[in-house]
Amino acid sequence: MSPSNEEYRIELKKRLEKNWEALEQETSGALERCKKFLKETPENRLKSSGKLKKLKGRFKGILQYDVTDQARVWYRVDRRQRIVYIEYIGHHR
Amino acid sequence: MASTVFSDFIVNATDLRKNQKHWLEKAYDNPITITYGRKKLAIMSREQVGKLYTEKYYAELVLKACQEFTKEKKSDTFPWMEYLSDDEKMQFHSEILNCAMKSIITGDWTQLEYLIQDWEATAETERNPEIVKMLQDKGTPEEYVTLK
Repeated sequence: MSPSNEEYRIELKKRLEKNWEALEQETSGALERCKKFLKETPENRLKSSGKLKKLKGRFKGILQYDVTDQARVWYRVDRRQRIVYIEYIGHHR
Repeated sequence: MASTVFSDFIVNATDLRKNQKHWLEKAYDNPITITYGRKKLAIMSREQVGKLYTEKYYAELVLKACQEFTKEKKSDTFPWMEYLSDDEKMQFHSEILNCAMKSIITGDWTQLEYLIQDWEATAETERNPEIVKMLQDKGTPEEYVTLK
């Protein structure tokens, strides 16, 4: 497998582990699809079915994936190391 | 007397009836105008009509947003703008204008749609202080765990 086809490693903030598990229970399939997307093409809008947003202003570099209508995952991507850092998981009110 | 629009051909209804195939073929590439008494009708490809409607929709959207911006009133077009800081509002305003200019030239409005979605997501994030705090707090490598 060439480096550009290598999957991304997903790193989750330890304090978010419970949020991730809760979201897994709540959305199961949708969070699995999110995980697959983050591993394979975390910056590709065309493959996100409209779920990927690239934040602007002071949040430049942060990406948002809409797991459901309310649930979101915010992350940043280290392309060189091929790592996705999940910075927050939560719901929009 | 009909005046030309988009360099179209002007044909009367009788000519159209006589040479239907010819004029319909022509209409696919360039609009043609049919004069029918005092009435004027146009025949053009569906894709071209779609393109014109899309351009009109986005042009109106951007103009309305810019008008609201210059009047410094709360935006009806993008109500979520109220959660952006003044600097971010300026940046959004400048980006939406530049992007619309490019879209007019290229005919591709996808980038403008993405830009609006990105700014809306940014505003939604700004609205929630808990999320803002977490996103500003960049963790050290020890604070992360690899997801299986």
